[in-house]
Amino acid sequence: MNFTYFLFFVCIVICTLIITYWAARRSKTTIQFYTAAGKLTGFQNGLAIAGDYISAASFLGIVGAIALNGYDGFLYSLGFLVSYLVVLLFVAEPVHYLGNYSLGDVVCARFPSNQMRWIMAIGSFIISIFYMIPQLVASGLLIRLLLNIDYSTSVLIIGSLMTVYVVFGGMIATSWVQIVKTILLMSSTFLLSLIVFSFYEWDIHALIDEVKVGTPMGDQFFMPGHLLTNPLEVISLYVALILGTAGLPHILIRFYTVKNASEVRKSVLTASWIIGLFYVMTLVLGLGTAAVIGYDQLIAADSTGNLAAPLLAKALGGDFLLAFISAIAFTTVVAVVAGLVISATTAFSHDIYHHIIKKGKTTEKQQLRAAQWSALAIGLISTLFALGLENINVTFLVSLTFIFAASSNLPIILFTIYWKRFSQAGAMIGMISGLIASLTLLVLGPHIMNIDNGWILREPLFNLYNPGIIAIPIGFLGAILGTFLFPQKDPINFERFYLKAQTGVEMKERR
Amino acid sequence: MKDLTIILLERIGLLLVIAFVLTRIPKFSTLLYREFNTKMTIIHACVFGVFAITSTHFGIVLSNGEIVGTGFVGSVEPDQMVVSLSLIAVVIAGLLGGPIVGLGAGIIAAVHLVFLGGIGWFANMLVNPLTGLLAGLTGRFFSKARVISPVQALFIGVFPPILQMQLLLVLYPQNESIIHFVNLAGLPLVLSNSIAIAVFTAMIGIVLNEQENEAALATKQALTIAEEALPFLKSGSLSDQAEGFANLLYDRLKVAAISVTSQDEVLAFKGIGAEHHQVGHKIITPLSKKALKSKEIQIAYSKVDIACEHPECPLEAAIIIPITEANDTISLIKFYFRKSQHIRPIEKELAQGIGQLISNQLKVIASENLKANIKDAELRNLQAQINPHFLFNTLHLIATLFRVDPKRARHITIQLANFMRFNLGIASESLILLERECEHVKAYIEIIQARFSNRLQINFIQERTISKVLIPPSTIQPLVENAIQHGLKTVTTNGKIDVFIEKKGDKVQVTVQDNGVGFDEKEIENIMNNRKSIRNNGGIGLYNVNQRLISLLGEDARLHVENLPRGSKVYFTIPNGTVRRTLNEN
Amino acid sequence: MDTIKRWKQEKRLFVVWISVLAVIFYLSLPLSLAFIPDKMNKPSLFGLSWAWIYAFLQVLMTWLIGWIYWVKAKQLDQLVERMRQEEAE
Repeated sequence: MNFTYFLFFVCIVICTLIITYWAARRSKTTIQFYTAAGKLTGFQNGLAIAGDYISAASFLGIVGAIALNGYDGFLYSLGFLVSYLVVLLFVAEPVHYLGNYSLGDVVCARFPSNQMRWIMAIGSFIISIFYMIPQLVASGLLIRLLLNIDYSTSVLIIGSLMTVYVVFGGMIATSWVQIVKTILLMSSTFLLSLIVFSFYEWDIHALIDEVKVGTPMGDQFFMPGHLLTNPLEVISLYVALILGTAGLPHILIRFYTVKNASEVRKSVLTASWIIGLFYVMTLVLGLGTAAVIGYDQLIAADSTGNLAAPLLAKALGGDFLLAFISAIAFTTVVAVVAGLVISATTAFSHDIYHHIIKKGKTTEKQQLRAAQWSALAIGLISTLFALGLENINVTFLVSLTFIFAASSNLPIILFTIYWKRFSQAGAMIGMISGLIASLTLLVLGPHIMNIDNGWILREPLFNLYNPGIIAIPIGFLGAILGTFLFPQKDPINFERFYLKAQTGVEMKERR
Repeated sequence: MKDLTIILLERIGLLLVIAFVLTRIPKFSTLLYREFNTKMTIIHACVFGVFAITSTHFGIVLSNGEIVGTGFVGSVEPDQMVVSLSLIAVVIAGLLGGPIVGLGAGIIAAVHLVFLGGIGWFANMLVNPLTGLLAGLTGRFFSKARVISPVQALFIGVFPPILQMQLLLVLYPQNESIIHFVNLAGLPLVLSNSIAIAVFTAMIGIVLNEQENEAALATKQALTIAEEALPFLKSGSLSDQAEGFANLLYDRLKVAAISVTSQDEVLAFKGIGAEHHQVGHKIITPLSKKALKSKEIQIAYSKVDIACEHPECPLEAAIIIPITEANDTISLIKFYFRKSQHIRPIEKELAQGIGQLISNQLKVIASENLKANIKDAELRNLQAQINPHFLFNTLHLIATLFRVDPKRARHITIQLANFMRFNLGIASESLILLERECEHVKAYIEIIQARFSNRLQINFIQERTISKVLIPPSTIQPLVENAIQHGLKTVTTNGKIDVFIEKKGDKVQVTVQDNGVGFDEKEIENIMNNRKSIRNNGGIGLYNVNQRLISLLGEDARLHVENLPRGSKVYFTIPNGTVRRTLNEN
Repeated sequence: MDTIKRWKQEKRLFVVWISVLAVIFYLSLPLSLAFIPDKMNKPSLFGLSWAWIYAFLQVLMTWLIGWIYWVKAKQLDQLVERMRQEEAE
């Protein structure tokens, strides 16, 4: 590792630690720890959501995917963006009005029981952890490539940083690390795209022509149908991406960090603007990589294409620019994993410890202490897992998370908010059937069962990489069936609940 | 790369030394007071712009990756590149003064860089205003504090050179020498810039801290002085107050001289130039008059402003502080200085503080007096309610009248009832309508008239158009009573009392005039100022009426006593149309 | 009570209408790519193929729908404010 890399790296670490130190003095109460006391503005929260959402996989992976696969890579990124409409239209405001700290609060506002809390807490916990471990593994690999340090060292560094942010700074530190990350990421991608354009003297046609030379696909590069040949696969992926975000707990708990519905909307809109602009810029970077670096060199450096953006930076601006882009990628990684740690922590310490084990009878101080300890434990455990699972199939776990979120968390949240007859039994059955369906289909699918390099060396029983199109309906159907089989015994006043969910207005009991 | 870093750090060391010396100059520190107005913004932008130009010259010139010469930047050949340090100054400007100041300083630095020229001049130019603007916005976004902490600055300082490098890459694409330059100079610039900006921020932080400490000290001093001044303010005569106060201020403050004036003349002067600034001089300075009128602090920065007639007066600057009481400026305190530079913001703050504190003290004293006066009124009222002589005499009168003139007896009974009822209600309000007061006086006059019909004639003359005027209750009746009991004590026949209520300009004048013995000339002054005057009635009398008028309606409403060729006249004026204002305030 | 009814109607109408529109718009991209790839690859404006135009339109459409929702929600907020006051009475 040369000195330039080291300096930027240290600079980022110091900056985030300063933020944490600053936040630690403001994280003295439970509400500050879990939700930054609702003090963020919509714009800030939007930046933080974008920071929470754009993982290193998006930044590096999508640039690579576009450079390698052209149009299909871009299509992939569109799904991530469109998913914010689902969040905005159906989920964001009700979550803000119904819950306090965790996703469990939302469902338990309608079905207040320990079983329900268990289910929701475990659901959130699994999603966050299963999302965090592949992020850690991927970023460990990435940092190894970028900075040329050991896999275990890089995982340890990232793991301990994310733990420190959350344990000491809670949601405030996490949010601000994410905000800083978004600003840095956006400005550096913007400048890098400008450099790409200027490299071809602001002539887009020259760029496109050069891309056609650089990739073996030629004209085909700009046409769909390379990454995803099966039409069903395309639709399935698209559906899972669009619906998945609305079930991701680490995104949804961000809506507690602002003070009112208007700010909630503003945060979703800000996030969608930033994410949209970001993916358009990654398109430029992807094309730039294909043109400047070329397919062969890219594959030679790393077969997944993950090194596209760094290679591009090095070709355009030398070591200095490369070091800077690597530092940005590093920030991206820590910001995302910190967000996941805090959502897992909330699920554990608020739902399980505070509500279930202590039956809601803990003092402010105990709650805060419990949250910090669980953050520490979660950080430690996931770091250990990531250390051991260097060779895990990362894409498998990421698609599992998205499909699981879309097929189990989302149906429950949607039905809780919108379906009058929905019952607690329905919620549980929906959750479990969604989980089982997504897990089974993925295990039976080509991720695991693969003749060439799978864990089980045989023909896949179920031939879709993205089983969303089957798993998601199963989740919804399970919830519906469960409701019809076991209707709610003592239904609450749904009108009153609905009004509270949508507007925050608490109707008086009239009847 | 190592050599470049070391050279840049050396240059920055020099720059910081100069900057440090600058911050030690008292005049410079006034620049750091953040006043957000157009003038200060322009001044700040210019100062930092000049600083940025200096920093540019403290940079180095590169030619093909080699450092050219050992001196500072002079001229730049077209094939050379200047490595400027101007971003440091521009970032500081943005962080300290906000986006506009940053932009301004950046533009100044940019214009200068254009004239220097060299390779990459366009990017070097563009990055300066951009950085200034962004630094300003960043400072606002991340920190609400006045000056961000050095560690934050260290972090923010990393990015301007990165931006510069990227702009170079954007604007000069496919240029090997630029990429080479970026690789060579990028890191040294990042290092040196961020360190310099951090150290600079720390330095400014220290200066501001010092200033804040001074300000805190000034506040404390103002408080102490105000406290120590209390005894003087309570003491009787105006000149005593002024004398003591001037001495106190002169002892406590580092000023050339102190003067204390009334509304029109100097009451006390202490310090340099005392031989020609003498007590009793009239106030002539336009600024003093302005201060009296506007009730705001005025500052004289030159001899002309002070307008001292003495040709060799050593005093060149002054702060003029108005002291107010009941919305009137009653006095001026002046701090004199030998040089206008001696007036720092600290002195202004101190002056302001002292002015306000003293005014507040006076307000407190006034309200204490007011309370005492209201007590007097209540007391007086209580006495009136049970004044046995008056009551018995009147009852006796009524009893007598019933035999002679029952109709009149009934009328007097009703008047007595009115009079008593008014007395009962009097304590609840501090101001009442003039009409009600007149009813009261008329009832009293009727009763008295019935008693002394043979030896006394009382006329009550009121202008019709007067209405809606407020007056402290029971102010006119005591004057009439006083005229009867004292002025006409020795008069047995043809005693005459006239009560006039008439408009005088925008005021209303109330006059009570008698044809009795008049006042003892020597006593007139005492009557107003001394409770123990001979002509008073057991603690109630003209003195109390006077006090109540002053405390409730201001100095303008005070009683005036005059001896006439035959008899005497007591009058006062009250503002017309006070009703609306007072009612709104309540 | 009338305010609540009115708010409910307006909100439901708006959400249903806009989500149907959005679903059709978004799903038609993968569907058309899957079933009419030839037509989608025909060049259209600015030398871009329909597939690209449609993809960019999806980004713009997301922002547009977000903006429409923002405006509509502002209107509905007034009704909500009225409801809140009525409930407080």
